[in-house]
Amino acid sequence: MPKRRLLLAEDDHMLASLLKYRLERDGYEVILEYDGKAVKEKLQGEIPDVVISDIMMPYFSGIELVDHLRNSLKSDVPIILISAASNDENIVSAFEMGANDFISKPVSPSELLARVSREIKRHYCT
Amino acid sequence: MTISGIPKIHTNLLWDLTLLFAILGILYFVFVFFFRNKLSRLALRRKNKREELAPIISNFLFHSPEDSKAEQKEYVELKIEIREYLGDQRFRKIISQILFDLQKDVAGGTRERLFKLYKELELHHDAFQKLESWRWETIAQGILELSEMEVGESYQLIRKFINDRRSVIRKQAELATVSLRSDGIDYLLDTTRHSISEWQQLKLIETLGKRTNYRPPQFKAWLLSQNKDVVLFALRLIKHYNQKGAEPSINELVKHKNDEVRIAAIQCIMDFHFQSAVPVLKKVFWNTSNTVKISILNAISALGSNKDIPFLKEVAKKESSFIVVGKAQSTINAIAPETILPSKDIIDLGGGKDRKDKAIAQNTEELNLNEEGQEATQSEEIEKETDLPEAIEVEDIEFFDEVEIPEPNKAKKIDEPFVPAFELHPIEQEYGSSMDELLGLVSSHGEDFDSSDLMGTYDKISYSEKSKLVSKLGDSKDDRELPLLEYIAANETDSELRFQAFKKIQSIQEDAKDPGKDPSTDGFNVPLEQQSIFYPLYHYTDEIDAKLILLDELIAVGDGRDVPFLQSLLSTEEAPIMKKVKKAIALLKEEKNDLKSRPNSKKEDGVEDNPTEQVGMEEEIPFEKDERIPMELFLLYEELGIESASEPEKKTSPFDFELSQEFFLEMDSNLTTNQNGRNE
Repeated sequence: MPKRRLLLAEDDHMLASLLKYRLERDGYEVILEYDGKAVKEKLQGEIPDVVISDIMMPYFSGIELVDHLRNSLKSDVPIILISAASNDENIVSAFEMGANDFISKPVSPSELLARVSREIKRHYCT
Repeated sequence: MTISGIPKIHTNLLWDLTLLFAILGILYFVFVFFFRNKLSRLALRRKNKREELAPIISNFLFHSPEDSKAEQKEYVELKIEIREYLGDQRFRKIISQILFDLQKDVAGGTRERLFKLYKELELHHDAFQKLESWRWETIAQGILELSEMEVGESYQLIRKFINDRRSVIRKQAELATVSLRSDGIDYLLDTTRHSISEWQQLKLIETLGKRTNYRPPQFKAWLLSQNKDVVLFALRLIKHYNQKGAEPSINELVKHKNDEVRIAAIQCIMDFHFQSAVPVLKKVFWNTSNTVKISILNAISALGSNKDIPFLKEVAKKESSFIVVGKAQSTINAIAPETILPSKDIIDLGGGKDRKDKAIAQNTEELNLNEEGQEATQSEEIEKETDLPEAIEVEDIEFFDEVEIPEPNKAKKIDEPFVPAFELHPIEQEYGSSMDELLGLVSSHGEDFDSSDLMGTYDKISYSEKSKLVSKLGDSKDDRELPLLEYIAANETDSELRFQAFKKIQSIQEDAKDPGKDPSTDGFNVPLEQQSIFYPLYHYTDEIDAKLILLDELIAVGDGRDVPFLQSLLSTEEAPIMKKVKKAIALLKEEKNDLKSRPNSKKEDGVEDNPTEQVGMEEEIPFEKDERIPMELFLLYEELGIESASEPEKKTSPFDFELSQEFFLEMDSNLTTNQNGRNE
């Protein structure tokens, strides 16, 4: 079975590295990007199986990224958003734009893994 | 000073100074450039190091003994490598910074492993060293690091900073003490000698809230503290953890010297609804500041009952601060709604006394609703103490006490309050007396009025007031007013007023002779001049301009019934009004004559027979009985073929104008053609 490809967009290098390490240990192929612009460029080439993105990022926010994926690229790829700002407006607008799941910081890597796994099952195995 | 007196400046010196400042400027820019670059390089190096260390830390954090052999080998190699690095102080700083930053972003098991790694790498020793620094920011950083990384061993070291003279260190130490051990809050409250700001209190409560399975101590123990901030914080904690067992202590704190403590205690009392505190609150009320008084009144409004109303009335009466008085009144209304009604800038419509009576009756009723009941003497005291916005007089209260209504069905106690056997509608009560006055049923001054009282003051009032008084005395038709009117007729210097008084006396005497006949009334006991709708409006204001505007309106919309009212004004008012009144009378009479002279008017009064004439000023609308209809409707009937329209005898009638016979004949032929066409 081929490895699932995850796109992880997180501007905090340390946390990004930690999550990448944890996800890779669980058998996923992780593409790491540190800002919204790089993520957009990456998405022009290929759409991954799951997108995990921080909401607060340089150039483009996670919500803009969701909008880009859903409206410009017309992709239904599962999107999981991460944010320290757990204000209702951000979460609601993210879901309205078409995000599939939301996880607030501090992030438990095990929880993130469980959510990724659930999204993959829901999207690709049904 | 002359120009020749200005000292000479050598050009060479100026050049030298220019050169000096240029060099200094260049040096400054070089210095800034150098250090900026140095800092950038350092930051870049740190960033690179962090990126280099990131996978190593991740490896450490997510290492498991169940990993494959290759991973186990990699882990051991990394451990050796990192041990070597740890000898370097800069590396230690970077790695401890990485771990410190990372703990904010991760949760769960990863966070636990991170703390373990921090201790395994013995990075906490660096933090301990920071505590020994002489720089406050380094100590504060060390305390923060140790508390965030949950280094329990640091508790003893940190807690000694609780009474540090430097506030930043002290605050950091307070948070760390509370965060590291569950009994840290006890130690803090026991030992702190400094103030704890409100913000700090909230931070400490937040820190306590993060502790898992935390069992708070009984914070009432710290209500005895000598430090008022500790007492305040203890009160806050008691409230936060809902510890209701401290009721007597909190009640006692209402007597505290410090206003802040008092207010906090009162707030606590309100939140916990300690009704036992109400007597204490009332006792301390008089010896407190206005802020505390308002807090006490707030508490009484939440906890008080009807038996607290006398106290509140006393407050409203005795207090000099209008804020406290206002609060006391609103508290009375909170306990017994609508006891005190608005009184400021309220226009007295003549029911002032009734309103007072009503308020007293309501108060008396409410006081007697009290479950425990009160003795009659106490009730009297209460009423005497009452100082409602409408000042209550003792006589008013006696009025209620003296009245006895026999109630055979109920054997009432003597001290029971008077409860009327009937109920008056509030509006009736309010305006009853004014209505009676208006209808001339009672004297405008009430039963006890003695006109001789006014004689003394009559001479002091102005001309217009005198004129009004004479007019009103005459209007009242009360023979008890005769002495005053006679006094005016005898002593008034102004001939006009004397004449008015004389006329009024005559009028009253005539009425007294023949009470059945009242030439100025229409049989309903209402004087003719008062039947005009303009009468109350006119007497509502004293302004001449407003009265002139009103008279203009009267001219525009008035009728014959307003003439008596206008005539009554002729003898009482100012020159411009007099002029306008005369004009109005002339115009109204003229219109009346016009109406009489119209051919359709059947009777002079015409009230019963012709409704259009009842209006007086309105034009009579001629009403035809020949069932003529508009031309458009006629044509519509024709178009639709409705029978009534085609009847020849009715063809002549629908028009309210004359048409030639040829027109109808032509129309008839057209109609016949149309009908034939439809039938075909």
